[in-house]
Amino acid sequence: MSPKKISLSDLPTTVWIDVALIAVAGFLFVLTLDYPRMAALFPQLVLVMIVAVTAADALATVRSGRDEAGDAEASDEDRGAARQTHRKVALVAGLMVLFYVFMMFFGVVLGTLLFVILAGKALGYRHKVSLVLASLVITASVYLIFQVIMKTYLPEGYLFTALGRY
Amino acid sequence: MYSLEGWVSAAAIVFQWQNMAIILAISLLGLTIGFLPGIGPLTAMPLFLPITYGMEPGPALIMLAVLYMSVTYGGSLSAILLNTPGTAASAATCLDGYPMAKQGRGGVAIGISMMSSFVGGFVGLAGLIFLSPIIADFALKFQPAEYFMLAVLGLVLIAASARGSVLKNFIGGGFGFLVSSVGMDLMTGKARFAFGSTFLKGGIPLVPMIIGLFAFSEVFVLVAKGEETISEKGELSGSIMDGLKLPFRHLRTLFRSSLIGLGIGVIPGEGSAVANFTAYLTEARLSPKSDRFGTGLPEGVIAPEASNNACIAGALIPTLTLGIPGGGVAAVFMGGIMIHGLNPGFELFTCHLDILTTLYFGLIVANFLLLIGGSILSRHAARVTVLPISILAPSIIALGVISTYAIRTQALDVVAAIVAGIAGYFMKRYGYGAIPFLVAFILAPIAERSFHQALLLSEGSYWTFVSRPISGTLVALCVLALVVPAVKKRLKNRGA
Repeated sequence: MSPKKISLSDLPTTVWIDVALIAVAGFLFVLTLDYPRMAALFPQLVLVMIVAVTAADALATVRSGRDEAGDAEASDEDRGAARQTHRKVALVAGLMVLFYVFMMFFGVVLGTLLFVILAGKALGYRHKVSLVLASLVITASVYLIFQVIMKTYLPEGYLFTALGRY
Repeated sequence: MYSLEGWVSAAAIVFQWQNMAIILAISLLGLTIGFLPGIGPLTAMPLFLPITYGMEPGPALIMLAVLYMSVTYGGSLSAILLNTPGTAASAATCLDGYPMAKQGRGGVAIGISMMSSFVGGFVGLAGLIFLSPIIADFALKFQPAEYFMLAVLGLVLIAASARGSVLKNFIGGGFGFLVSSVGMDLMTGKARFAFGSTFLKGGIPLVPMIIGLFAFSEVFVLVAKGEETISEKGELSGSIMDGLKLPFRHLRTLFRSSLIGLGIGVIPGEGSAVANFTAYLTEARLSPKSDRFGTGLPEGVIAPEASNNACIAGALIPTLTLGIPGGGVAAVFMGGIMIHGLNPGFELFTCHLDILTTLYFGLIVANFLLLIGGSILSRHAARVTVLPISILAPSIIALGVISTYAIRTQALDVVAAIVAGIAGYFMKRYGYGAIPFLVAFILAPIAERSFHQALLLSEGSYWTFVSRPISGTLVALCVLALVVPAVKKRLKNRGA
């Protein structure tokens, strides 16, 4: 029986991730060469361990010819669904950034109020009244815990700071 | 040493209505604060430290210790219901607590958590009261080589026992060590992997990392799945009362984990975060149902919950007896002792034994109040699992971003949390251990410092890690932790 040939396009995703991680580890190892011995020793040991284990993982994945995460992905989702999942991940990351922008611009109270309504709609919540109510409850809880009880410094918002000047 | 009169006068102080009101209020407040992802006792306690300034030493110390306990209790609730540990001390609780909540047994999981925490708390207190001189003496025998090997053992145990590929878990752990080494090296003053950034020179902060890896990555998972609510059944079944009884059917797990928590708490530098994982993994290894850990097993909740609460009292042992804080929170607690003009150590145990007895008695009462209050409050908290994801996700994002920002008011902390969240999501998706990553991230500073100190003491000889009795034993345990599962697997395959 002749050994089965594996083309690069057949390689599971995790093998490519392993290769990328080895490249990153190699790059970081080169950086440590400029550090004093005491500062370099521990990260170098860790990096050598990472390269060895990652290479072993890539080899084990190629040898076994399967990739647990990749297989699940291939059987459960077609490419279109995978793309949709990535879009959802990007949406959530965008929402996190959006909340930070809202918090800095409108302040915590108004920022949270607006954000929960907008994010709820973006994530598909349909009942307008309960969305507004939920937004009010979340905002009140945040204000009570962080501002009243814990007396934490929270941003007032550039908008109100600017308005306060006039 | 302790006298009956001392306990009676301690009871008289604790049962004064003002002090009972403080214990009750702080218990409930701590539960609420602990529920917030990323807000742990280390964040809450410094905020309360100035409030204790005008109080009598006994009630002041009770207030701080009760806050510590109740925040840890609260952290477990969000670990079970949202898969977002309120504190690192509850991270291992997610592994079986959250699957139970998803199966509609959130109430049972909370009951288990409450009772295990209660028993763990008592075992810890018993250790604090009766065993403190003996255990503290043993901790003194730990030298840098032992600390380093303990950190390595922690990572090996976690990588070998956590779900998924052992190799991928080690990769996760390796990167945890690496990310923790970003920033100024304390030994040489050299900035490592900072790429000229002032933020990176200060190191990657722990809290944004925890919030990102656990809270934010969970939001990604929740939204990506496209389900409407967390609970698959749409409602929670299984009562808290059933959960309260369950730990007594697993007495061995309950007491073994409590003792592990107590033992780890005593070792300076090791905290609840290490205790809950060690207890969980020990149980996963010893249990005949080891292959079902991570699927919603009661023992998987009992072990971390009993250990993290026992660890709290354990951490106070070296703080009170030797003046060596068992961890960050214990260091804040020690600050509380010192602002009242007290000196931990021999003086505290001889001249101010009344204050210590009051503290112990207050903690016993608080443990009961937390069990009762927690069981009542948790019933309402459990309802969050049937909230629509489209409401829950923005709430977690808002709380996570505010919590991250509130600690140091730094925008880049929020960015770090978001990046950690995205990394955590992909780690979960492709099976690279996010939990080994976090544990390694927590252990790295102790590991690196101890590694250098051990080498300095041994004049550069790596033999020191093997030749010292305790360190050598830890090395042997590391080897066993790696070899035993592999041999077991091979034997199982042969049998099949």
